[in-house]
Amino acid sequence: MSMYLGLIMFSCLVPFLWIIYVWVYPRKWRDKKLIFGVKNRAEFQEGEAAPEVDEIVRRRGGQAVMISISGTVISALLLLLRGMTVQTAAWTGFILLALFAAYVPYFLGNMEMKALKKKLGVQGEEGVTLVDLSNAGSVRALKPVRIWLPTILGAVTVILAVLVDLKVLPVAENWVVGSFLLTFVTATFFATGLLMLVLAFVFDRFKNEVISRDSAVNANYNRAKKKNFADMFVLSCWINYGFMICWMASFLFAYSDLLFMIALIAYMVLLFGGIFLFVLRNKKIEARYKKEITIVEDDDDLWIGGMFYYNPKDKRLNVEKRVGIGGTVNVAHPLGKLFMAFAGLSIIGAVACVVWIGMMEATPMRLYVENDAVVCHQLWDEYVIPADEITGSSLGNDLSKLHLARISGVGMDTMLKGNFIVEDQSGCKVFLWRGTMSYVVIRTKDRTYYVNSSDDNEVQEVYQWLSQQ
Amino acid sequence: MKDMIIRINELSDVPIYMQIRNQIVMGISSGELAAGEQLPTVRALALEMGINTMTVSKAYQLLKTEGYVMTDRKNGARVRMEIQKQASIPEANKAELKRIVSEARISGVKKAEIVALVDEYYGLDR
Repeated sequence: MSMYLGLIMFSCLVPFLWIIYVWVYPRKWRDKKLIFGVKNRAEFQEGEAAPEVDEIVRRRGGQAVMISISGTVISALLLLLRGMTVQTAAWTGFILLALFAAYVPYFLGNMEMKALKKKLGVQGEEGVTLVDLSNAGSVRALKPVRIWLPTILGAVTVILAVLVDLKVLPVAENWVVGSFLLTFVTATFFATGLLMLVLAFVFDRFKNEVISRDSAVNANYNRAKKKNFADMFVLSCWINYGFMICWMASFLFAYSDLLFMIALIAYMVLLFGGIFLFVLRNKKIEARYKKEITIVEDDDDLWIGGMFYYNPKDKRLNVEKRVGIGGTVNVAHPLGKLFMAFAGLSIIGAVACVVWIGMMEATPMRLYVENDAVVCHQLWDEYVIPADEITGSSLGNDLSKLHLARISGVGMDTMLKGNFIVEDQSGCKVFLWRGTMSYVVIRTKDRTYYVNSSDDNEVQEVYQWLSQQ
Repeated sequence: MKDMIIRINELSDVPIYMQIRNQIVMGISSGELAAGEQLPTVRALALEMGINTMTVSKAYQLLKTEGYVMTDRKNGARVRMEIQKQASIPEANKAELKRIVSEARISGVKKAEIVALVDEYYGLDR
């Protein structure tokens, strides 16, 4: 499992780092619409300014390449790590660090470009918004049926998964059926698809950019960009639901770890391929309309570091990103502030999660008898099984031969805790330290417990006490 | 509709609804907005400008009161087919014009230059 974790993280992070480099850092800056989030303008291409821009682009681009190479090498080295906790902690920390580092040269480049703009005396009209009256609210590229079709297919698959789990549809007979694993995973994919659906409509309603005095040019430019966004979301939706259906079919009829890995890699390749296609098409659109640009709205100062949009006077929550793909929020909007707080908490949460996993692995699991009851205790988890509820018990000697599937709870390389399917029996309570081979099976009227301890002696002692009851 | 770009300055002393009103009036005058021309819905224009719908609604109401546009629930706002011709300049506008001309004279602008500007804005062929 820990090997898969490393491979998944590697195959996500490394392409992402290089996509950031290709997408964010300009090389032929004269052809670009933005240079480090600052709008390219005629003043940059003339006189002494051009060599200065050349130098900023060269220096910051070089730093970005070094960061991407370092990220790739360190990611490859992380693959050598063993142990779930160590790997999870290392990957979480490194992903946060790498994504932060990848944008540092961009941020610095943005500050340098703004300083250069000031030095050249380029003074934009602060607070000015241009709106093409002919296009307001009328440029749309997303045909709703295109995105509703895969969404309906996804919804039908989730319903099928629920019916299979409820055993209303007897399509297969194995341990997955009835565990609600199918329902849970398909519902997760469906939730992702719903998010794509919402985003597709939000992106289709973005403010139209005014690049020319000619309304037809503005309309065509914005329609082309919105069509590209719409196509990307529709494609992503089909890939998402396609993978979901394949995953469900494989779990029901022919599951194997290898098949799952191949499908997962194919899923990632297709998703990245879709994004790559989007990037290429976007570049083509920008190149096509470059010569049509006669109006440059100066809103550079509203973008902190060229990344965070902060405009208290703008009532919109969503705006098109200045760097990267997609949209971002107006940080000055009340919901934008909430979103940023949530993003900050998510980062803190990810770190807290790693600490929690570390504590789980480092804290021994205890099994003992207290007040006429068997007690399983680790950290804040405690299972208490009163003696008068116990109807039978047995001792197992080889934990590795036990077939377990998690429904809810914790499943790590070192320990298992929570509700599991054990030997095709669902609803079992598990409290097992994987380093100890012996375990006790305790049966009560309502459920079966599979428990042991980090210390084998505690297992033997509890089993002896149970035998005497 | 011809190519009509509205320019809103959030930092201007002129309220935003008045800026919208003024530019639509200028659009009608210059022919960028033809008689019977459909204007964007209040919601679409507010979303596009990133302002409150009430602000756009106020501008449209003002234009309606002044007789430049007509609105109804079904068709939204349209430029009036027949705009009532007063054939006179309101007193407030006369005062404003007087202020502009006075300032121009003090700063040394020739009368011919002002007349040329009026010709340009009014349209020489009209």
